[in-house]
Amino acid sequence: MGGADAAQVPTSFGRELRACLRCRLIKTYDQFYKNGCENCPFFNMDQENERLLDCTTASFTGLISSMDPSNSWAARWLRISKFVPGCYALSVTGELSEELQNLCEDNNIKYVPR
Amino acid sequence: MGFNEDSGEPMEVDSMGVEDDQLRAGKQQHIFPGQSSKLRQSFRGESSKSKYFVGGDNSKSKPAHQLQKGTRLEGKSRRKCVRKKRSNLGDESGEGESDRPPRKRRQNHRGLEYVLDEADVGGSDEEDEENAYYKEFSSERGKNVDNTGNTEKFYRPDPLSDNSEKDDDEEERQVYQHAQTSKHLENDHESTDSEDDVTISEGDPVLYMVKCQRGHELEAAVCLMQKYIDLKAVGKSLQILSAVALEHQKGCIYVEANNEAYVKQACRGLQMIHSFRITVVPSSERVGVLSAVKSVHIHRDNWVRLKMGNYKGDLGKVLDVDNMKQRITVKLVPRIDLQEVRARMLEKEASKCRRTRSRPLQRFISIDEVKRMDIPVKCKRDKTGCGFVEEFAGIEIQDGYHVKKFSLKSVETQDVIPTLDELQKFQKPGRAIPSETLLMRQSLTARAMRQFAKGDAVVAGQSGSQKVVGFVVKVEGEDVFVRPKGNDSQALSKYKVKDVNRYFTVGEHVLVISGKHQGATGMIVDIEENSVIVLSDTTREDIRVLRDCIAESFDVASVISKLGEYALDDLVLLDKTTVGVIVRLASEDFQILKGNPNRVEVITLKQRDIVKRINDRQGVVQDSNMNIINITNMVRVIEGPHKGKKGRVEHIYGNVIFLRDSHYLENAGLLCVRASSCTTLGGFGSTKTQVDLGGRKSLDQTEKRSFHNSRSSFQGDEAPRRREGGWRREDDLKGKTAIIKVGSFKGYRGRVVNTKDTSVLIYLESQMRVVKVHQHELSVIGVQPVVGTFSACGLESGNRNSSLNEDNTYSNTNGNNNWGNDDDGWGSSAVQKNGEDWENNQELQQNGWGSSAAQKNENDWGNNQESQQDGWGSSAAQKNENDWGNNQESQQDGWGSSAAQKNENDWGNNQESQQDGWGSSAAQKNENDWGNNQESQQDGWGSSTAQKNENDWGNNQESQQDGWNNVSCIKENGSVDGGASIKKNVWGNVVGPKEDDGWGSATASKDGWSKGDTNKNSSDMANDGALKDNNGWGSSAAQDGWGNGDTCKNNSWGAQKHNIAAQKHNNDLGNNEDADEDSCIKEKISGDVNGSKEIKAWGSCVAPKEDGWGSAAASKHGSDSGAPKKDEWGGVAAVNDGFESTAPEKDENGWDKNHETEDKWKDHSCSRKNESGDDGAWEKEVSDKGEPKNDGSGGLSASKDDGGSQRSGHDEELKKEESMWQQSMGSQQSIRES
Repeated sequence: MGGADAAQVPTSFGRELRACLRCRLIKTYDQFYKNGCENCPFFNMDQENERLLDCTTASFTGLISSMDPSNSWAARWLRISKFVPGCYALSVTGELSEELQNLCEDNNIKYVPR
Repeated sequence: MGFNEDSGEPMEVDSMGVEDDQLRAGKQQHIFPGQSSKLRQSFRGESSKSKYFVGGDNSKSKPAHQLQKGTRLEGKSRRKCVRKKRSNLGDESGEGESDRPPRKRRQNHRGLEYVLDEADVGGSDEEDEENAYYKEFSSERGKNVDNTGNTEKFYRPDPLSDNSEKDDDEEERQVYQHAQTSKHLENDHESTDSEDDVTISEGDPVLYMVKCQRGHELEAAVCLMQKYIDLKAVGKSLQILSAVALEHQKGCIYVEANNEAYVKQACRGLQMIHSFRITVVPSSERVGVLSAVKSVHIHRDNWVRLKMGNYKGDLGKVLDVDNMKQRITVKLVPRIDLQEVRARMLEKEASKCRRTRSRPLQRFISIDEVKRMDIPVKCKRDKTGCGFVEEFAGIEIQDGYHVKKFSLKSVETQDVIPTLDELQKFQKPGRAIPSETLLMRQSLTARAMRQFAKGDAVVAGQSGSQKVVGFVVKVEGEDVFVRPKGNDSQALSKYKVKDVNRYFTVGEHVLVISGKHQGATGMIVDIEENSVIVLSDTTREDIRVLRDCIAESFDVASVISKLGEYALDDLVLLDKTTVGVIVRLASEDFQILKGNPNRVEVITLKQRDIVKRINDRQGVVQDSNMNIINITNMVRVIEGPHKGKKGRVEHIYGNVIFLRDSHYLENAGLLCVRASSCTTLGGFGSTKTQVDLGGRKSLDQTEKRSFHNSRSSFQGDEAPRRREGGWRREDDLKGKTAIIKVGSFKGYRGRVVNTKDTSVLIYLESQMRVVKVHQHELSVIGVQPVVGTFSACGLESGNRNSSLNEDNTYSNTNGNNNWGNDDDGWGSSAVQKNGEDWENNQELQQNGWGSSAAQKNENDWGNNQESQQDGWGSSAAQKNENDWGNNQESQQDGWGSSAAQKNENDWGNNQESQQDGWGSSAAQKNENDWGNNQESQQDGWGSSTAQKNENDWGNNQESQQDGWNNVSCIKENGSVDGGASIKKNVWGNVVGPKEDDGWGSATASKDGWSKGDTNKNSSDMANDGALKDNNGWGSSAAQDGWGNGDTCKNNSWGAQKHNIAAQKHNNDLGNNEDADEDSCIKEKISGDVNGSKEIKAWGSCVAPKEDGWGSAAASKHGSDSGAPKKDEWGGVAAVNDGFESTAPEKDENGWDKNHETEDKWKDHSCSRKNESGDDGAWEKEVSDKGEPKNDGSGGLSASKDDGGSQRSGHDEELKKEESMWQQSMGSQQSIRES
């Protein structure tokens, strides 16, 4: 619900922005590196450069700031209604690697490429 | 904007610390709330307070506003009841009072609430809080910690601030949320996967589009997010649900909220958002907003366009994509300046200060070239492993392409539509552009413009699968329903728009709707797989366009004829010495044919490159004969690259003339030639000299002139006589041919097109225009109405104007088939005696019906003499005595005519005599002493002929006598080569072309003189030499038989004849001294006889129908060895119906036909001559063609050896010809009528 802790808000708009391949959350590289992805903690991308690069992409288009995902039609449309509030990409380029997809499955999380 | 730019200090509160831009936003906010608060602060002397006082200020100001209670009340209740209305109210106020509208309103509410609700403390109203919030950040970040407390403190004592409004909102929102939640739950249990199917329902939040600063869309969305979080941290809630920023939608963001007021509220304080411009996105478009952002996946081999740098705008092919690093490797056509590269390498330091050079041109780089420039080249393996890359100075070259990495952001990946040219640059040489590439391009191109309408012919089918041709039945969105062609069933196939292409057929008229040729129209002349060749209406050139770039259209692109001050066909000065003529106008360019007579040079220039326009209307220049060429004159090019072309002089500059040959398709038909390479056609003065020139090349100018003079004096005598004869009646001048006697057009000949009172409109053939003259200035030449221009020309050609005869284009005839000729008359009698001493040229003609003519010619030396006597019932006596070097031709044709001819030639004579007639008797005696060539023919029905030829030495002689009941005798052949039925005259040949036309018709005969000259060198000469066109009585074939030349075919009455092998056309050989023709003849004679083609043609000359006497003759030349135009002439058949019809007064057409055919013949004379060299072959051919046909009175019987075969022909062809003939007749008629 909207009350959930919001994800970090990107602190810059430059090239450092990256989007999580699974949830499309947009943060800067540093933010990911420090805190990982709020929606996908199981990726454990914090402090893991490789993993981080694998799980995120800088190739995304559009940005939606989802303040109240559960109520937002747009969030539902974009299938981010269950994610924490934050900035998301409308679409990302690329897919998770096999390995990471497996990781998703292991965590009982469905991965839908978008 | 960078977040931390103004925050050097660490943030203490995380949620806040993150938000640099919020800080910024806060600062910016000062612009108005801040200012106002400060103002107020100072006003109240509360300046000591921090910015939090802003809020305080506001709240404190409330009481002042409460004064207007009534309205507040109303406002309150409204707000409570209907959210929407409140938002409207907000709107109004927002628009109405631009200063601080929302706040006022809200404050008012608050005031109201205070009164009504006795409300609580602590909760500050949203706006105030916001303002306070931003102020906080903007001023002292260090105080952040206390912020909340301060705020609370500050607000708490404010009794006016309450939460009631918020409560109201909350209530509503909760209700709403409940509904939402339930809905959401429903959705949820469908699993997240199916959320795609979320539909928009009534209760859903609305998407608003808010304008913002361009380039700050992302920032705006993020700021909103940040604001939300920050507010939340202080217990406030921003009521917007989401904010969307799209990269491709510059200058706006989308905000999702339940209420517009929330949007405004949320946007307040964010300077990059222009919250005053909010529009609602219709629910139908909502999905589009979010789904339009599918990111483009770039793959190998995709096309991209560079956005910046040297390669800006260039097309590149993706070789590799590195999604992680966001870089792609692109193959480009290099824009590398090797010199610069080298220079940089040599002086590395100097290179640091980068030279600003102009952008290098696109050019493929060869590694050898690089090596030659001493640039070290490394060769390394391609990263993909499939090839090698040469690298020098950090530049990678592969196969001449530049391989370079770019950031994904710096390339355009969407909607890249390569042009055909660009594609070709990426194509391996010699290979066509693969269809997928084209298809891809096509689909891209099509996306925007493709629209189908019902009934459109399309070809549908996915790429790679079977294509179906059909018609569009209906279109529904992206789906196109197609009914396959030839399928009667109602079955419709459904295709996606992208799979459907228009279907075009050859011949369709289309408009090019995109690409380089945009706007052009034309007809499809060829269809290739994906492209179409269109013949442009304006340029008459083929242009190749992609299928998708064209649309059916009936419009014809208008031809621009003027651009700026220059118009098409203008003569313009290009620089000090160069001129040119504008031959085409493109959108902004001129295509100019340069004034270079040596070669065709067309350049494209801008308007500014043209110095000026040259007015040369008065230009005059001399041609090769020192005749004057004016603008609009007709000239023929006699040498140089354009030899043989002819046309109207359009411009004259110096000694260069531009002429327009309407048969020349390039450069608008314009040619640039040297004036000295031309001869004028037609016209006065010059014309005549040319005529004579041709015929008697060997004679010098003076001779020509004298001839000319004698001719004109001759004519001068005639004119009055004719007038006395009463032929000339003003009222029926129309259609007649006349010569202008005085004025600037003196000497011009033309056809009278109209008369009015005493003025006459006359169409001058040589000028191709109509002029008006006084009728007394005219001298009428023809009695008989002349048909078309052909006969008109023919009339004169014998006398005056044979230069026209060369002119195939205008179908002038040398054949003098006009019935009414100089000395023609019905019942007229003419006596003529010409005694000329030396170097005379003489032509005598006596034609008439029932006329009798006596002619005596005595020529001493070097004479050319022609005499013809034709007539019905005419009797002609002709005596020619030529002493030395004479050429003599005499013809006597007629019905019931008797002709006596005596030719005595002493030395080196060439003589031809023909006597044709029906019931005519002819006696001919030829005595040639030395080196003579003699031909005599006597044809006729019931005619008796006696012929004696005595040749002493080296003569070649042929005599033919054909006819019905003919008696033919003598053949005596001299020592050389005489016996051949096909004439081979070796020695001292003379060419005497003759044309005798019909019965009572007038004949003009042409001199054979020149023949002799030209032919002397070849053994076949004789064949060429004698050109005769004899037309029998009532027959209408130009070269038909009666008493024909060498290989004469003689056909009897009513029969058709074709003399082919030996057929001669005076026009070309004898009379026309056209250099071209001569040379061509020579060539052909010398060996290259293209027999078969022409032979065919010959054989096809048949007389299809012969009704009785007046037989029809069809002459047909399919031969194409000569000018291509022959074909046009080719199918001419002449048909005469009935004997009676030949009577001049009854059947004009018959005569006309003669003219017509004659013309044809002339056109083809060259080829025919070739034929003659190859008689055997020809005859074979002919006989293969079919059986001889017997016509009418069976005139064949007596015909000579090859007569039958000549007559033979194909009926089909005849019919064809006939129809063509009729057509041409029709057109002639119409000409005449017009």
